[in-house]
Amino acid sequence: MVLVTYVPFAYFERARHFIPLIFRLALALTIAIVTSACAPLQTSTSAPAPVESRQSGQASPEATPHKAAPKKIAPARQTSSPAQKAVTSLLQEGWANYRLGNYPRAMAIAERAQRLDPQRAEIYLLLASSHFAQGKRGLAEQLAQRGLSFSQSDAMIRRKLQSLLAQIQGAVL
Amino acid sequence: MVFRRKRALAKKKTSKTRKKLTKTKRRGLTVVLKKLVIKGLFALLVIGLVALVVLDYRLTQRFSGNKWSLPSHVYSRSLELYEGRDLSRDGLIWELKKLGYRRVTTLDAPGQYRLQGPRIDVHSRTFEFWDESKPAQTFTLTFQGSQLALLRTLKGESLTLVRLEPLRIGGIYPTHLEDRLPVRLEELPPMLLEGLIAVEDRNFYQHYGISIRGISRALVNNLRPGSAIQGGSTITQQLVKNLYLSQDRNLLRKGLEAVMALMLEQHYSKGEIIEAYINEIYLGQAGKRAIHGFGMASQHYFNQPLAELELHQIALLVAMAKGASYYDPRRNGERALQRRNLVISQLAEQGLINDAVARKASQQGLDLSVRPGTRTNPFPAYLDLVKRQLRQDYGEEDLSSGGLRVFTHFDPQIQRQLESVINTRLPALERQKDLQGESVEAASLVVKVGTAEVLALAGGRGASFAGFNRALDARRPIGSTVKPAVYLTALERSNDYTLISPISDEPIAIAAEHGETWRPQNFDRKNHGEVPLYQAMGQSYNLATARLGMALGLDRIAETLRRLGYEGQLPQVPALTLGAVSMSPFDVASIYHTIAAGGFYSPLASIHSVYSAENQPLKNYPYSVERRFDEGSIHLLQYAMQVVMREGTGRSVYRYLDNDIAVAGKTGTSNDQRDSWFSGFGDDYLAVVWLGRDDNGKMPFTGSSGALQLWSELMAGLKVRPLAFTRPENITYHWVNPQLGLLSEEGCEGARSIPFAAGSEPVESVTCRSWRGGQFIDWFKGLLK
Repeated sequence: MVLVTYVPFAYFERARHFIPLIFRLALALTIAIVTSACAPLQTSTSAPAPVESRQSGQASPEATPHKAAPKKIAPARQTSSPAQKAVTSLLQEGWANYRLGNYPRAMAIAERAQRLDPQRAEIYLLLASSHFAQGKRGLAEQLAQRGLSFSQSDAMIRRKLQSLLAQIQGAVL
Repeated sequence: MVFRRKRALAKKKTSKTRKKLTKTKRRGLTVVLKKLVIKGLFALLVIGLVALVVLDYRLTQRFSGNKWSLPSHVYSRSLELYEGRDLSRDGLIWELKKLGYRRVTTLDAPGQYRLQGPRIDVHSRTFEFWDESKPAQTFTLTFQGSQLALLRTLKGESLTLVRLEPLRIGGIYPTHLEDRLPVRLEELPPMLLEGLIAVEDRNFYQHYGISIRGISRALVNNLRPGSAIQGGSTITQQLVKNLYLSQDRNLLRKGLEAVMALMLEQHYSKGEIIEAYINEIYLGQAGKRAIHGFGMASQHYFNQPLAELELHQIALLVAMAKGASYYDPRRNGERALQRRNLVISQLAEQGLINDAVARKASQQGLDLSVRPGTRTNPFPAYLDLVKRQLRQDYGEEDLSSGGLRVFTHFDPQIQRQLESVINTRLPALERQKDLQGESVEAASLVVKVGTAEVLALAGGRGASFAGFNRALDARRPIGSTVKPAVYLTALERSNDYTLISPISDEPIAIAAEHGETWRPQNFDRKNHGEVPLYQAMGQSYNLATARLGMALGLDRIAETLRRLGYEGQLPQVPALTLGAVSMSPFDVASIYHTIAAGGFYSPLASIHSVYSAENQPLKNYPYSVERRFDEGSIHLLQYAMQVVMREGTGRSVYRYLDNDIAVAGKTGTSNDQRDSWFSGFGDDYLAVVWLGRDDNGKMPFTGSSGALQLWSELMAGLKVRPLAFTRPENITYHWVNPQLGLLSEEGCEGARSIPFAAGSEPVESVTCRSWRGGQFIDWFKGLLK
């Protein structure tokens, strides 16, 4: 399969200047069809080599380092935490306390939730709201900023954080 | 005048009645004597009464006020249980054992667990948390590998979140080193109370403080020459002796004891007296600390709360009331066992238990915990950190006598991992380098990313020995550990620098202090020409970094270090760019945490709240945060710090970690390899590891071959989660050719996807020449032109 794609290509590269445009197009089309048909079977040199699978934590220190190409460094999406359900239930309890004006307890619960999943934006909304309600604008603003940095995947919380931030900044002015 | 006349009159009289004189003289003397005696007696009575009043005042004052200065108790974090969390079955059992839970076959009381194949059933204890009072509850856990798969009630209903009570990890003790855990009378197991009275003072509820029969028996015995002074004391007398009097034994003291006992009984109820006795009594020694009261004794001997003790354990504590040193079950096991069984038989004699129960209890062993449950300080380095943070808010007096309850972020499971890595990997490294008898020291701390909570801390190799706390106090040159600060300073100026900016890695000479010239060198002693910025960082090139740092300016780098959270001294010398600044591992962790947390600074914290002995909140240490850097710049830096791990000086980490686990970090090696550092983080944990010698001697380790090895094993053991490397809005990824500094395309030769601050990416592209597919695309494009 490699031959099919490679040999004609090398040949035509040299011949390129001698062939009129219409032929070039026709040839290109043909080769394109041939190669696309072969595509599933193509191998590419830059495809990742098979990587040894290893259980983390069980690696023997004497093991040889990975010979495999280093894994690409790429941005990742926020993944959901295994504590999601627990955090949701804590947040409900926290908001209930917040609505009753019991801010210290709301914050204690929010911090407990934060320990389970520090990347849940809503926790910072609850913390920021509670601090703001107690007149601590500076910290409330910073907490809202922190929440925003985790809010990419949660449009509703993002809007709430933005509106809280506007409120805090409005209150400062 | 009047006096003189009187005197003259008196003289006349005396001369007239000289004969009568002898008679009256005698009578007068008796009268004077009588008067003197009466006056004397009266004075004595007054003195006695005053003394009694004083005594009474002292007696009641001590008894009614805070009888004891109570040590402060320091607690760990509490283990949170929810489905899907990383926790092995062994991990849970380990923690339950640490908490003094007993393995049983049928759950019938708090503080017990039962193993049912892959399941563990637990009957947890009540606990006064800072945010709620948690009642005892039963639940069952099922594990899958290293994960908690199911959390249910015993009836099978699902539970969202359960927490275990925290572990008591230490105390802050008064100078007299008395340790106690006061218990209220109503919390006392009834058998303990009844047993004590039955054995120590049968007539406790009848007498007025003293027992005449007891005293007379003691008197008779004590009058015999050579005999030891004997007891016969009631519980009230024993309490008076323990609470108020010195330990010398003489008759005067014995009398005072009796008087005070009578007074105490006048003022206080039997219940108050026995409660004080139960909390005052000396019951053993834990190193320098004296164990007082049954509450602490139960922890000391059984590592269990008093309420959970069984009959044979209660009987042992009752037995020890007679003499805690003589009947010390750890030192004099056989003697203690005999006395315990004597107590059990006395209980049976008095009808408190039946014979069958007594027989069964007598057959039990002493059932002591393997280690005293009240080891003063099993985690000295962490406690040291806690105390330092506490001293900023409390006086020594409050700390050592106020009975405060201090809740910390300490995670015993992580500490266990950390200690085990230091205990195994470090000796292995020494063996590899044939370092026998030379001790390389280590210090490390683990921080939770995002909350900045210090979870574990080791101040040296022997983590359980108190001593020089290197994690806090060893300030050592940090070497290349500083480089992220240099590169961050550059990356914040996105108009001037990107990750692919060419940096010259050619020799450089910089005028330093005292007319000297500073000529840094690369570790491999080679020059690498022009390299893209991310590679200079990844490969830890010194020449490139020094050049970059000098171009940026030392004051700017110092400023970056300050914003990252460093508060100590910063020498503004050219060598600062390569880490000629001494920091403690704690300082380094604080800096790296700001990087790990997306540019948000939070002070590293060990305490989250302090409560009074009555469980009133005294102080909270709420999470605080401050944005110090743009998230975009931090994203770029984290990219470069991942290059370190994937391609650069940190790549050996993937001997330990799965290839999918993205981590970011930086090695550090000081001049002549005197210090070996590694600092880095994944999604949830950040750790700093330092290796070095206390005498600052050379080592055969670099940051990479030394500290990184421990760091990697630690992170693997902690099952660190891969870095959540989310792209901030102001960052775009582009395929570029970093060598040429031009845009490229996926698949083209030398092309690499690299993040840029939006707008800072190159404008011009390179013609794509490369691997076959790429060449073909090129050729195809050419055809179409």
